[in-house]
Amino acid sequence: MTATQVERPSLGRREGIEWKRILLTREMIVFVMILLLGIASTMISPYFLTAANIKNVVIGMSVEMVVAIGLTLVLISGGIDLSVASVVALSAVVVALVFDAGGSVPLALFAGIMSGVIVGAVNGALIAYVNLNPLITTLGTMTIFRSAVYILSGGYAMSSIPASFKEIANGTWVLGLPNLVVLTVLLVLVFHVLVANNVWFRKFSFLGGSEMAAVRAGINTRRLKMLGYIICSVLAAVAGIIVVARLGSSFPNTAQGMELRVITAVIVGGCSIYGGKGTIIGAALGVLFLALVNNILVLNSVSVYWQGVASGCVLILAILSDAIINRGKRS
Amino acid sequence: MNISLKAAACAAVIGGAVLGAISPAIADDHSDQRYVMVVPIAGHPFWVPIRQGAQDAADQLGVEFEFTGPVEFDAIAQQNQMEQIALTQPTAFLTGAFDPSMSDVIDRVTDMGVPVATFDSDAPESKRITFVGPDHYNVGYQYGKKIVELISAEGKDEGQIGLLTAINQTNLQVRIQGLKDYLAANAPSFEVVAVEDNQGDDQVTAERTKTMLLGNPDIDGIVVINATGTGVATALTELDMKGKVQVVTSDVFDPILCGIMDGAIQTTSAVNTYLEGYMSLLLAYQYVNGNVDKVPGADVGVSKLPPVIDPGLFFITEENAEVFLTGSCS
Repeated sequence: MTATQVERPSLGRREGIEWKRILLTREMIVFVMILLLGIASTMISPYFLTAANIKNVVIGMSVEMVVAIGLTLVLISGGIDLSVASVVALSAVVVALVFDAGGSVPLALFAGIMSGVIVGAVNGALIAYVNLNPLITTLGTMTIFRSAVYILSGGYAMSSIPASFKEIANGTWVLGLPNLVVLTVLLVLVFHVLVANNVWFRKFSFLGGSEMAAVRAGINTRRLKMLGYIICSVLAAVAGIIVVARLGSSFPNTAQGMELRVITAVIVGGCSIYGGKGTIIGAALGVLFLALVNNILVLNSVSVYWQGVASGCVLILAILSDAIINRGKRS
Repeated sequence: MNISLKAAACAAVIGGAVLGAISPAIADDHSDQRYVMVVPIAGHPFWVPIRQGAQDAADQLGVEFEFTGPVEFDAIAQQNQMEQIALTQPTAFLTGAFDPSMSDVIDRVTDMGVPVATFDSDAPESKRITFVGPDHYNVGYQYGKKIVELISAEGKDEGQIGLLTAINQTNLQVRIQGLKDYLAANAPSFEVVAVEDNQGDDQVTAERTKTMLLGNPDIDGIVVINATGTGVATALTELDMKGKVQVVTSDVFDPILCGIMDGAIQTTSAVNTYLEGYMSLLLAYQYVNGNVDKVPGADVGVSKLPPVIDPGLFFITEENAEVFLTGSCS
């Protein structure tokens, strides 16, 4: 270093930590909203900030969070998958049927996951190779897969689930935390790191930003889209397996309406419905935020007729805050 | 329970009388007749015994039976399907009126020449020919009586009760009113402290139950107004509170029966839903084939069929749960 080289403060330099940018990210805004909600909830209810309640919230949102991971990947790539809830139910029924037929735990797991692979391939092939609209396609397959659930189950609820399988969700093998929570956290972290840093997973964001640019960059967009839908369905199938293991039974109406709840949460978490933008951690925070809103309403025995109004208002406030902050950024 | 037994006995007598009175007509060939059952959430296990009862009646009578309906709890979709099917002129409709707006569509399809028999949930102001199903107010009343019995058996002379229901299912509100009226009239020291929406989903039920118990730690009993008792059993198992909170739930599925045998649920109510399907098709058959036309006053508007038939209500407990189990618990 020569005498003319003077060290300058890094604040404001492009290579420094851009605090303003980080603080104004959607994920950080949702995180702050969660903190504010948590503080308000703690003041309103003495039961909110208790280990039992936190554990309850985390267990309760695990299934939706696993579904949200896959859905985020599809949304980032510019697609949408409305069939995820039907896949959760399909996987749950397939697993229960395997046990009903005397199958083993590994066979049931394999069959459940394979149901996700197959329906994901169907969605992906129709959207990527036949060029059908993803919204309409998955709206159609949502109904088809739900009907398949009813056909396979005959409308019956099944409960022949072995104790060793229930242990997969309900056991506490790590730090006394329920396995389904550990699995969910692991999946969120792994997929967040992959989507944020892995070259292949970053192609989904590139694809969602501009499909034409992705094609010109030499990306096989069709194969990428197809694999996105397969990953999404496999994660929904994993969620179905978790449901069966937790409840010890399978119902054909499992997860009815879940797709809209998850899409809402993912968008609250900063994922763009138009593709190209979003993170897995943001989606997870969105699911957590909505779960906490529901939790505080139920904890305080707010009338069920008013809960919808309150949830809707909080949701609009969340999106509004984002719009205001983004307007501030532009100005 | 006495009310229910009497109602069941009445239903059996009326059913027997109807069967006996028309048995010669059964020999006639009506194989071209088509009876269509339209229900919401068509894949829900709740319909299995109802559908089976109607199918058995159809097989015995030698007529065709169809079962259909929207996959979601959507009263409008259910009504649309009925009106569309009415254009194909089925012999009769069998349907549950889970929403007050069903009365209009029942009247419209009746005017199109397709009579409607209702089951499980009624539309008494409509032109329906008969109703086979429980008095939901009485079902709720019995729930109130049962949960007070269970909490009192724990040595408590007062108690807090939490309810779980699907708020979009209006007929369940009648059950809740019956339950509250029982408490007000017979057990004023027992009160309903929370009512939560479980959206008819056991996953949601499990989460809501746990939150409800955390927010209301003095709850002594839970009544599940719809068929999501498995979610409550899951919640109590995860909270290690099996047997500490008394649970009355609704309907009979293997997972609920397993919950009873496991000790997480104390009892579940069972309306004899098989008879709802069986009797509604049977009565519709008698009506459309003119077998009850000789009812005095029928030509001046006297109802040809009993306006209401209650198939009866009973409670399943740990002592008899295994009898109703169709599969196994693990």
